[in-house]
Amino acid sequence: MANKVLGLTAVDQTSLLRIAILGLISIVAIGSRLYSVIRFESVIHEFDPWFNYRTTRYLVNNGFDKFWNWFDETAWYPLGRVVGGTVYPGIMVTSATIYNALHMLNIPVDVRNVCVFLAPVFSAFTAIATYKLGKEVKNATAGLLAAAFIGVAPGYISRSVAGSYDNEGIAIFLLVFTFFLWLRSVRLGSAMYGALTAVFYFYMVSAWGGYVFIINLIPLHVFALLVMGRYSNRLYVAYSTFYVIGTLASMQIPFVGFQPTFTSEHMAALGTFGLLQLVAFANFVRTLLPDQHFQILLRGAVFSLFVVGVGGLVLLTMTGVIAPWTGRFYSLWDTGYAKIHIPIIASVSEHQPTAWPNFFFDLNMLIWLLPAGIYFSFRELTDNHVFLILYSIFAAYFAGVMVRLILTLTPIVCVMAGISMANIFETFLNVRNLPAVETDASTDTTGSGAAAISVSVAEAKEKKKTVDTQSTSSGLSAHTEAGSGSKKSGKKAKGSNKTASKASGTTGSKDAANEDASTLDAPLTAVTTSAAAAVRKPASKNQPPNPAMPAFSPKRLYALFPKIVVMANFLYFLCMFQWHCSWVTSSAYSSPSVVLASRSPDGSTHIIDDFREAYYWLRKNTKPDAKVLSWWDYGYQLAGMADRVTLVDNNTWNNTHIATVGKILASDENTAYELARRHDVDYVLVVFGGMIGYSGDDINKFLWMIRIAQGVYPDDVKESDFFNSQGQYAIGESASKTMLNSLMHKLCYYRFNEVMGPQAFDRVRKQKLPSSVTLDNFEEAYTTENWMVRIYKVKDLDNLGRSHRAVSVLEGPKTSRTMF
Amino acid sequence: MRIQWLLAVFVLLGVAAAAQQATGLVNTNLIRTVSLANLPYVMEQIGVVVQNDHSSKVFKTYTLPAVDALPLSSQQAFERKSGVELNIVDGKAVLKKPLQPGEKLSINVERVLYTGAMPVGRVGQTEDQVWEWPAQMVSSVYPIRKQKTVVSVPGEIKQHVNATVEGRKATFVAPGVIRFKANGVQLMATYRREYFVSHWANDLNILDHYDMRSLAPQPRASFDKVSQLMAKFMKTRDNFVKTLLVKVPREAREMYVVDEIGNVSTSLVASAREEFKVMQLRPRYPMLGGWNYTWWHGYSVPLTGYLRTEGTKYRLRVPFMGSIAGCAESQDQLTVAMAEARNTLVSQYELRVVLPEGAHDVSVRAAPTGDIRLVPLKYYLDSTGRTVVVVEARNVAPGMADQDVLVEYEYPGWALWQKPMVVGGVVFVLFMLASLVNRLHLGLATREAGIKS
Amino acid sequence: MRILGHALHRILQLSLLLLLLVGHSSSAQSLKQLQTQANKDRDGVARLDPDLFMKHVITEHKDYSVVVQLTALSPVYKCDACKTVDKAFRAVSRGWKKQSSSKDAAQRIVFGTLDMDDGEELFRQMSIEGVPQLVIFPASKGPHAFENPSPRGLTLGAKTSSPEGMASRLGELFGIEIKADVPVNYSKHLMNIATVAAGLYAVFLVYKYVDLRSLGRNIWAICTILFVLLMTSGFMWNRINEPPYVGQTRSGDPVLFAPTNSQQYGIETQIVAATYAVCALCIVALVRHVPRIQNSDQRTFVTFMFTVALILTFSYLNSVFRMKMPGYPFKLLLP
Repeated sequence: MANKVLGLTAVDQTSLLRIAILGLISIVAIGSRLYSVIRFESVIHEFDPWFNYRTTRYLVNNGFDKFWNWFDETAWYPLGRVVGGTVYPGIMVTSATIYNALHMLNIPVDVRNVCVFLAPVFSAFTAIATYKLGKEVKNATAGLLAAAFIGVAPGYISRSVAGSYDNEGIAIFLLVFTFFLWLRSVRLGSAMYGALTAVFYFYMVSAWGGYVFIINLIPLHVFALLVMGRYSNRLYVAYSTFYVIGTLASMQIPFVGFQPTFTSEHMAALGTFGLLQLVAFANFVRTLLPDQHFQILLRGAVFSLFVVGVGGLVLLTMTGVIAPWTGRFYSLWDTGYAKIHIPIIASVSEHQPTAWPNFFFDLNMLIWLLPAGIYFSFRELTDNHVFLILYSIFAAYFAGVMVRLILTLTPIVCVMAGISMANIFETFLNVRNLPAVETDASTDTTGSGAAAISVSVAEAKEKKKTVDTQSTSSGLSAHTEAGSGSKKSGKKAKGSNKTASKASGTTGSKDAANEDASTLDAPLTAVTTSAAAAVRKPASKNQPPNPAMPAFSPKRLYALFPKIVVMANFLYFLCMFQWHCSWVTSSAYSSPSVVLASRSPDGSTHIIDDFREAYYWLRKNTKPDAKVLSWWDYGYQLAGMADRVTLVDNNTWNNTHIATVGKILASDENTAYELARRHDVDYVLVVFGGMIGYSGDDINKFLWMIRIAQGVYPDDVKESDFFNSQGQYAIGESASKTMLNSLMHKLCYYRFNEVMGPQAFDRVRKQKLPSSVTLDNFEEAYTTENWMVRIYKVKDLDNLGRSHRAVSVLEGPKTSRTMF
Repeated sequence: MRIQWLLAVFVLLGVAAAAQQATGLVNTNLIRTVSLANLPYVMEQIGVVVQNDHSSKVFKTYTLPAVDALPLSSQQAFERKSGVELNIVDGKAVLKKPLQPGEKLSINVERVLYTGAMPVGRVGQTEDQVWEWPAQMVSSVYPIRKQKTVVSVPGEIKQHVNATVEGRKATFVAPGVIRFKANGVQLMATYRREYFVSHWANDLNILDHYDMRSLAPQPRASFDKVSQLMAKFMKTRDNFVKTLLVKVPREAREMYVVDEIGNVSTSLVASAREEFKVMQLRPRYPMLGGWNYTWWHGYSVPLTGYLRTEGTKYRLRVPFMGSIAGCAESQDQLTVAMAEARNTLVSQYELRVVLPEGAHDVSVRAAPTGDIRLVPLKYYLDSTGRTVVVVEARNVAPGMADQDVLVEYEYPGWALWQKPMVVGGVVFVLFMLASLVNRLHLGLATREAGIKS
Repeated sequence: MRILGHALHRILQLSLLLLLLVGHSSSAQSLKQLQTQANKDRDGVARLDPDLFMKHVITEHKDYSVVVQLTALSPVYKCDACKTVDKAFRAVSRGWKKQSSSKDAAQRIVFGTLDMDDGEELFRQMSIEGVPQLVIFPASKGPHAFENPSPRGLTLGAKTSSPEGMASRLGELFGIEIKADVPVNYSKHLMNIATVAAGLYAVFLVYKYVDLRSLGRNIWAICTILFVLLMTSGFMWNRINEPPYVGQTRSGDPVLFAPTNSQQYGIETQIVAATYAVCALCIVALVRHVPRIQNSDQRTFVTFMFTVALILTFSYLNSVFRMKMPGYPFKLLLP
């Protein structure tokens, strides 16, 4: 009866297909993140990853305890930094665990490689998690599509290419998986899944500050459900388990500590928890009260409590009992806030609001599949869909405010797009159906979703049979099994029921205990999955000729034609999407920014490795405790690659210190010398792009340094002084006096004109160079091949106590200045 | 200065005088020729005519003359006439036939010393390096009738103290000093070489780990980018070590160069002669005097060329160490000679031969120098672990690059299949466990209950 | 760009020169004149003209300090910064007025403003490149005399342009606490409260009378979708960066799309949101509407219609994106 392929029943075929597809998606997801490794090498990217990498190495070498209370005195000299208490240790612990596991298996892999490939591997996990989520909220088709989308969506790739070893790399997986677990625990009302949710929430807390998103979204979901009058014991069980365990667990992270008890980011969760208890109590009361009385009581209670809660929250925040919102978080709400109060945040490009091209660039067509998805979610408004809708709303808002938060938007967009696409596929790929059948099939899928009623097994069987008659042959075979089973003894029926439910990829017990009928169309979707995956051959090859209509009548072809057109169109869209994604990834998101590549006119790429040249020089040829002063951008790289003491770095916790560095760089040589000696600086490192036209150099960042310095030392540093009388930001002869005398300017252009010749141009600023720059208190220690990094030694005090200027005047310049 | 030298001489004479009573041997004539041509190595040859002055005594051994406390990397002694090598037991050459009273014998002693030359002051980036070599007299336990020292130096001689100089040769009959120009590259390295033997892939993987330091005089002023560029532009010389040349076998493949922070992308391979290729490594930064650079490079060669087998007994013969040559020229102007130049001192050397898993009864033969250990190691997916042959040596003589190490070990056929078996087994077990767990029904509610609800 | 140092320098010269020209009147009465001028204004900001400025602000021997705002408020100059600064300045001045009830305090600091319209040539003489500027002419004698009575500028950053910021900065300068008097915008608060209340009530009503599962759902759906559309089409960017609604070419005819992909005009958001909406609509129609049509020919036709619409809209979006991002290689129908 069941037609088998390779001795597999149709059910097994579908599940096998699904696994295969997921496997392929994972491979694609990983593969498309390897551009940078292939183009350059397996190297840690950018800035923050270098810190994570360094800490991971420390963790691997010194074990967890030492890491936990590690005071790093080589950072923020002389202040130092309590690393253990100021990091989200999740990512380091993760990769350290992987590292140790591999070494336990005697696979001698380097820590660096573990770190480099962590993000891609987790992106594969993310794809699988998204599949689960999609399957949870709609069906396997949607799941697979969503997985495929998130596997390649640039919005996520931007943070997870091989080498960008940053918290987001694993956090997104955790985010999605936590949400999946949450939804399932709500649907099943199982304490186990609730606990699992809490566990993964804890993992998330340990991994990324973005956990705040979860701890606000889930309570919101609960609250929304309550307001919609959808309280159920399942909800109660799920949330209570989650909140209690999750919160207690999250407080174990030192960086979080007791925040969940008093900061306003966490208050919503607490309030909802209390509210839920009350509602539960009310429900208990309901059993003792007549209904209409009770309804009034309940609603009154809910709203009053909500108002009181919110009011109390506001009051407490105002009175300062609850800690005010942290700056970065605050800048999410009052968008002007950062601009005025926190230049250090405003100066970072990824904290800017998002213009629409960014959305299109990162999500392409998904961005317009999102609204459609929202619409469909509204059609069948189960608890899960409520969650999806809330998620889309908030993620959309945050993504609009901050570019980097497109990251949190991407998963939901992918799921929504998956849902929309799945709907399209189910409507237009269902080649076996007559129009008439098709309609009530679709109404069945959509309509039944909304009605949340538990169905008896008998009904289920009924429905299944009707579904079977419509579903394609492979599905048919599966369920005639089930059907025939039902005719026999109950025991057999259970068994077949299990097999049938296997088709929907859910465990036997779950399917039986199912409360909403949405999984009833699982067999149908299981089949359409195999269809959607464009591997329809096994299904279509061995179809028994349908008595209803001959296989290839012109009428049938005519009926098929529009479907074919639509599908062709969408398949093309999907292809375009894939192209777009790989183009964006390769062109925008795959450069390590530690190693640069430049194209020479003849088309051959030329690797520019100045950063590592300089860092390695420092590492090998300076004394191990040398203090290196540079702008904070390079702090982590210095610590990671040069392994030397830094004054400031990318964890910008101390604005004053950073401002001091800015002041040193902005003030004239003698003042700078005084300050530098006071902070016992040995070397000063500046990045200069004038030689090869690298625009991200310190002269271009200089204005920010000045602003930040001015914020703290308004009397010593004035932004306006650095503009010349025409009000331009010039560097050449026309530059303002302050500019020409500033240390930064001198260090960058020291003896630059001697090689470039008198009438040379700065290749970034496109301006004439200053004629001759002299240095008295600093001496050139090293300059890299393309002049991109210049390192200067802070001279020791003169033996006779003279000023260095006097010395140089007396003894004359050390090297002849007559090169050209 | 002079006074001290004289004092030294007197002391030496005193020693000699003391020795005179003890033995009847006398160095009637001693000529020492020192070549400073390829610093940091100092090649010296001492030709000595020994006479037995004693009335009755017969001498079986001859205590070789010493120069000073410089570390000795290798020394050999020959009978000049026959040219046969005398083997040396703690500083004494065992004579082929005992030296009868009144008999004369002329012996050649050849040594490689580590540099006694030291840089004079600091130099600018483009200036010439000037080195100083203190000439001391040869001392011996036997009286020395007359001796002289002839030194040949690479560059012109700038200054000298009580030496007679013609051209690039200086002759001393008493202690003195010369200062001369020597712009050759001089490097010092701590060096570790690892061999990985894989019978599976029939491949011998070689890894060279260098910890390199330039012995050139320290730069006088601070680093000067401009003059460096000028020198490059005008193709004039400066004191940077720009390239490092490594001789690798012709069939070498999969070469790589890495340092502590990633690939060093600026390096290429040129095939120099029939029998070898040259890897041209460019450090991240050119090295001035006193600068350090650490990196490691590797490649693999087919194992067959190095492995002989008789049944289950395998005999692995590999070079004791690799060779490296620094050179001041940049990549475009390199010659084979530069690749063969010996200008890198290996102050500490460690050789590790990682044998395949399952190799046992390991025996090491013909390791030229150093002490030998066998240490266990767990490597790629090992279950029982493998043996590593470790040879450590200090102040290795340059000639050692040409010598071989011979490692013998038993390797039964089944050992080849150990790894796949173990791995496959583990995977299978895991699979079984997984499926078992999958069949378990967790949860409180029984199926029946589940369905009824 | 304001170049303070330079301007101040010129002011100094001017003041010296003026000493010779104008026989300086006693500081007391000049103060009186200034204050009378100040009292004309409800914020207590003396509107200066060149004459007043010369006589009573740039005089050597005065026992009061003057904080002068150099500005150009008349709309012809289109100086937005001036307006904000002026607002803040007036707030501070008001605050000072309230605060300095005591006679002594009132005599310490006088706030004055000098507008482009009144003192254009004066501006030129002082060679002031840019407005707005805040210049302080400290007291040279009396109890509150500064040790260095030369005029000094106050840099107007983002912070110091806000009333509180300016007040605190001036406070530091004079070594006393100055409070800005920011008008509390009650109406705004009331509005907010009202809206919140209304919203809550609306929710309550909806909840009470409308069956959320049927009719309410559509309303919610529409609201949500609109919100999301706005957000995903760069609405917040507009709110924060306040770009012009429509761009203009040299010749002055309107441009809909900003040429770079980091900028956008107000109208762009709306166009893009609309295109998103149309695409989404097509999808929904294809899934929900088409299968319901019984007549197969009609169904085929409608299917094609929506498909074509979808393709066209998407390709339009695509082409716009190409225009904004020149390197973009893919295109669909439209160039």
